[in-house]
Amino acid sequence: MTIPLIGFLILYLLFVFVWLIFSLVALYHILRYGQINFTTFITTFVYIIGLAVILFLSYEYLSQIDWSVGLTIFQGGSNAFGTSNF
Amino acid sequence: MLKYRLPGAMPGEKIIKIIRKDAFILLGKFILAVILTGLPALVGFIVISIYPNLLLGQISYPLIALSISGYILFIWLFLFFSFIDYYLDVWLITNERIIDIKQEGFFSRTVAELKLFQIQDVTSELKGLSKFIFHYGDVYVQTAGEVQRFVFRQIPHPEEIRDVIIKLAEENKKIHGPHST
Repeated sequence: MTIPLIGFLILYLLFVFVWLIFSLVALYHILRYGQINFTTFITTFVYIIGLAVILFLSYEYLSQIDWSVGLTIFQGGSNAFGTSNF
Repeated sequence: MLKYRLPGAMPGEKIIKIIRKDAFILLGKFILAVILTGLPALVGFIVISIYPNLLLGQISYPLIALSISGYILFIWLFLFFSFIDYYLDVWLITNERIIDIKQEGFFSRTVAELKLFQIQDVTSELKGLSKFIFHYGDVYVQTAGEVQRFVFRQIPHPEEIRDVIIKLAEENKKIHGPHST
């Protein structure tokens, strides 16, 4: 049985989508109730910069991967994990 | 002068104190986030020392990259929300009332208030080693009549806050009390 690797990418993208919704809710809270001031501005700014860096680095790594490969399970010696000890 | 957008501000109402949980609570969450961020590196180091070819696998590398990315995103959000929880959980003491604003999770926010002249009893509590060392604790404000109790949790210098509330409540009772004109 082979699970396409792209399935894991879709699961990851679903996670990122939910994560973005929660991030937007968090940003809404800080901007709506946080009394716009230096502290809230800096925190929001740092958060947005941080998330941009994380997403950019993730894209850099993930864009180099060949997603057409499949994960074969219930079959010995596939060497999918780079080791035959599994 | 302390600045805060008072919910339902009364004429002549002045903010006396803006109280948040002790910064030590936020620092604790920050340290936890740092430890959680370093954890995959430690686990990765141990696993790779056992299976040196793990990152060369066609499947293992993408799965590890996806997992680490998701994990770091989660921790980043956890850290930001810890700050929001700390920053938006606030108690305001004015010359007329105490306002308790609570951020509970992502989708819940409550605002409650208590008139100073309703206050019957104020208790401060400093219990436990860390609270004793870092001098933070709880303040309980009991009102007359109804079973209503305000709790200021894990705030810095609870005794000082208790004294401020008692003083303000006494002053306020002179104005709003039964013998006031």
